Amino acid sequence: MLIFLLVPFSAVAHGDWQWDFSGFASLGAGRINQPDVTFFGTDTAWSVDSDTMLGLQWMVMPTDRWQLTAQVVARGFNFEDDKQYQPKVEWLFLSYQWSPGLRTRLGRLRTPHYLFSESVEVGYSYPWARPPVQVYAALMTQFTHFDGVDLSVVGTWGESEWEVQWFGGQMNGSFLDTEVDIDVLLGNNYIWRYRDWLLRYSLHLDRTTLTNPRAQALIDAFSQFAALDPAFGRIGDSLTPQREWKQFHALGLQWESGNWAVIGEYFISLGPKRGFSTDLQGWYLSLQHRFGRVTPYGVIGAFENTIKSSLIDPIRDLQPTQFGAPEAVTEQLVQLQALGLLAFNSVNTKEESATLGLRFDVYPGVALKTEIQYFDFKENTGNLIPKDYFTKPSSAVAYTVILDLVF
Amino acid sequence: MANRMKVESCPQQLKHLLGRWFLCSWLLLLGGLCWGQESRALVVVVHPENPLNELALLQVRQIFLGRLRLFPNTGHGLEVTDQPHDTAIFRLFYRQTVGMDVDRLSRYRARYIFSGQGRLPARMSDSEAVKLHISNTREAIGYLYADEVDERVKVVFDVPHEEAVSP
Repeated sequence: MLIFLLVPFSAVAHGDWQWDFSGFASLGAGRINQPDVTFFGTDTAWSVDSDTMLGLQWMVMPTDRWQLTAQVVARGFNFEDDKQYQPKVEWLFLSYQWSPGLRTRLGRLRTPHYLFSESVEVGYSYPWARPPVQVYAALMTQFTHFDGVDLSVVGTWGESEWEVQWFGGQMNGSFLDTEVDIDVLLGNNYIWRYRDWLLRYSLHLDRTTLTNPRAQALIDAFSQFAALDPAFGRIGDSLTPQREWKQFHALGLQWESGNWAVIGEYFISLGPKRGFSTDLQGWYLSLQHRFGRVTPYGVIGAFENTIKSSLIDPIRDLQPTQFGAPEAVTEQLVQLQALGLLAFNSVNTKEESATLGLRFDVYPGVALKTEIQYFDFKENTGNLIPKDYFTKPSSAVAYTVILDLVF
Repeated sequence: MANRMKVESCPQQLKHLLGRWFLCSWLLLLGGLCWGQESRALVVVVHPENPLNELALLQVRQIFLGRLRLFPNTGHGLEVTDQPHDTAIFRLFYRQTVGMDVDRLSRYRARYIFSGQGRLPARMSDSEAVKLHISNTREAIGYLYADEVDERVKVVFDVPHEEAVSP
């Protein structure tokens, strides 16, 4: 590793073929102050797994226009415990440069939701210890890549530059006990650069199927009462996962001038009106100022996940006693309604946070960061996962120290 | 006593004068070197037979920040070269073209390299190595001090002296 630090970003030519081998790594340690929640695998004991990773990238260019890129990443934290530090192919694509401003890529690509999506695991490339979780949480372990194709066009207009990217493909992953299958993913990104400013807008349309065993148990429970009243069948049917379209919008703004920088992003994801579906939105605003090699920064942000009212309202509006069923059956209906509301309410979440951190650029290619992040849970526990649904703190503080490097 | 004092103070005064003269000379020399380095004009150069004759500042920025992967207008292959990161010419070039210092540039390059956007410039050991490489590689582009240009390279852009606004 030390040898790599002395020869950063190595590039070697082999005959007419050019190839590059490079990599990135993070060694982090973190803990939180609350015993009742976990934060990316971190709890009250210091852990080095949550923010530790190693990535290796290989690029080969047989001609000026063709390029093959592969990137493999091994992460210390994964929501599936048995896959810690297991190498995973994040990039594997073939690229063709049609003209100076037109390029196509085909293969496994990064999901391009946000400003730092495509380098989300390269800690050295951004100021914070980790990208603000109010926006980047889903990308940090699960939905990091898709398989498909993209087309990028780059141009200028006066003193400004613009870039448009169209992409399409498919993606799947899981988060805790929810399987996410996106069989059609379409989108485009627009980037505009002018002097110190960068503005980015992203639009995705995903045909999504969400499968969750808890939701399936509810579907089955409601469906079995369909004979009593069609309302139960309709509830079960509305929860049944099917391929439904989901919309995603994200706006990013970056201003960097001299030693000052401001970065902000906002996203909203609108789920379909059926299936186990939610609406998500989040934002953050970051301010930093560089003093030589030291950059203190502050971030504020918020995140919200809300079950569609079209799904929960029919359950809430049920009147178990109106069906004239025997008492034992009515009792079951009351419990089922309560269970349904409990399950859905556990998904609703709202959090706000504030972060203070410090980045020290030890050497070009090496940065040391330390960060304190305060979470205020307005509803449930936001991006932190409770160990027990019935024991939820109202706030938490996460501490992180991380060394990022590129080579 | 007074005469001895006069005789002793004279060499001492001379020593002081000489000392000040040397100090001032060195300061002027160093200052001149520094000032000279900072004020030396920079140029962007390509192979003499490269069909490209001129670049705009925005195109220079795009090329050296990896946002253009082929030569503009001609569509020929593009290989960007860099000088060592700890040299004055490297710092000056990126300050005057893209408005970035070493740390910020390093962070920017990490972002685009590991997002699969392109590759880093090939690092040369010094200006002579830049000229040698460009003279042997038609796709190459690099930067030099204007007074280092010779027949092995062709100038396509004169870097403005004022500090650039970051892109």
